[in-house]
Amino acid sequence: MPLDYPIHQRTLGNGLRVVVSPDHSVPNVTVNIWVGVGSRHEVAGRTGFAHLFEHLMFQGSRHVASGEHFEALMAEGGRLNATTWFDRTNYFETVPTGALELALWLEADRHGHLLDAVNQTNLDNQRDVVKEEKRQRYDNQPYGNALTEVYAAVFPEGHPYHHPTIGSMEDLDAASVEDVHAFFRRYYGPNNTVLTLCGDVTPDAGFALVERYFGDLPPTAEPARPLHEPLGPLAEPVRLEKVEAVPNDRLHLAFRLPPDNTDEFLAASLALDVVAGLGTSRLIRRLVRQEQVAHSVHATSWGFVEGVSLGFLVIDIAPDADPSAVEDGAMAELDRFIAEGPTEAELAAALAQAERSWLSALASQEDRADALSQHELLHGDPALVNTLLDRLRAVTPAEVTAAAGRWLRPESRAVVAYLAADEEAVA
Amino acid sequence: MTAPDLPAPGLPVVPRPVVSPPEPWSFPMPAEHRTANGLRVLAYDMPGQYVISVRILVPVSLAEEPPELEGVTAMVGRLLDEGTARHTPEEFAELLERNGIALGSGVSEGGLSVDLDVPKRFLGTALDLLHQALA
Repeated sequence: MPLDYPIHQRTLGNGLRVVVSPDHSVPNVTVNIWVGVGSRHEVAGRTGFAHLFEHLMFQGSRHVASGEHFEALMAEGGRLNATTWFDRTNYFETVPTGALELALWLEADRHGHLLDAVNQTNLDNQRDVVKEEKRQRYDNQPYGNALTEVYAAVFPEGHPYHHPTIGSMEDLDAASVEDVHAFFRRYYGPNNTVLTLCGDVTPDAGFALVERYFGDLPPTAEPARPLHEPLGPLAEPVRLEKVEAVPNDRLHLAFRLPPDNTDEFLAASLALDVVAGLGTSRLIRRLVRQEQVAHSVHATSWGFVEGVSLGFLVIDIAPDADPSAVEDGAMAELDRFIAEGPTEAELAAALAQAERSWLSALASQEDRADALSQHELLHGDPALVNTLLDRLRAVTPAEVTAAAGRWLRPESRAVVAYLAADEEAVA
Repeated sequence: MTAPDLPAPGLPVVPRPVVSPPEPWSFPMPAEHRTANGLRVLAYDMPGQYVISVRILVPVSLAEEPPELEGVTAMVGRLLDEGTARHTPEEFAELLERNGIALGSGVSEGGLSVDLDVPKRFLGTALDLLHQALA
């Protein structure tokens, strides 16, 4: 049965898609904005730009001083941030109901009139902030660049998902004020944006307020480029081994998956859950509980919109265990799953855990707002949040087996192996 | 060049709004109940939500841990999902997962807390399993 979160939609004359989902249990409102630009839109030589740009959105706009967006909302008890991902950029705040108009005014100013405030000084400042973020979160962390290497191994050179959102130091250095202007003009504008209000607001009041603050912005974003051709599974295994100063050997076993919001993607993600994503999954039973050759096994499925998605297993190898033997064991389990499919109990467990996980996410007003923006921007229908579980439950065991047989074959894997360097050699 | 539909700098289309002060609000009071064997139950109804969160607080202070067994409370918490008198660890893990249950625990100076999240249609089974883990 579908969930019944209330969802009201309207599109303004300038193309801004507005979603309002009232919830009066607490007197605050989440404003969640998704802009249809992410790292998949970046071109060679300018990787990391969507994320750098997101930082500049906090450095002032026509009527807002640098840093004022954060200060003004935090002074009202708001909490706020922004994130950049492959498919989109996301700006959000949760504020007491009485500060909703201020939040909308601040957002409209930067989403409409950012460029008045962009200059070489704040570009240089935020470039340094982002480069420091890259050092802290990627370059100076054990395994910190592993996922970057996974993307490069799974998707071909020049593909939209080949590079990470953080970009490269060289490309960040190369970004100019002219790039910022061109990027804003091309991608930012109400006609490439979804704005969700979730919380203590009625649909009528919400639509009227968004019209008041955003209605005058011109539809400046340029039409989207055509989507990249869909990709099938990797034709042959790809392998990268690195010996580094890491605490233990770690294997990343990655696969291309079908595009997001397709029944085949749901089936493939259920297959990954049964193989490695649950406490009772096959790899955890075998590698962690029985053979004790791994500390942990995790599975992740990330749905992307541009013709292909990404799934991967992460296996932390126990001391003295042989990583290649562990990999062989994992591949044997994948082969067995493809041959046998899920048991009734395994599929029931994967569905029950997906149910709790999705319902827990929606329980949070902020996450619910985010899910509504996501499904409107990327899939054109926020009401998908109410029917996702029904679509998952409709997936048959045969579809799960077939998705695994097409996308999760050992010969279609990309392996990024981090092997712990001998301690003396590192020292 | 300024496009004709953009305002001149310094003149916002819509003036900066004034923030209105929050209305009085307080967190709802729980319904309270005491079971025959003395367990105090606080229940908060959250209309429109689908997940039930249960937290059981066991008032064992870290200060009471014997020095030679420091950490034992955390170990107890971590071992709660490793089987019961009726179920092996794997059986118990399977029962938790098939019923959409997430079971966790935390230790602080205030005591050992055992946390359970579950979609409400599985609540009965979840409480039975939680009882088995704690009994």
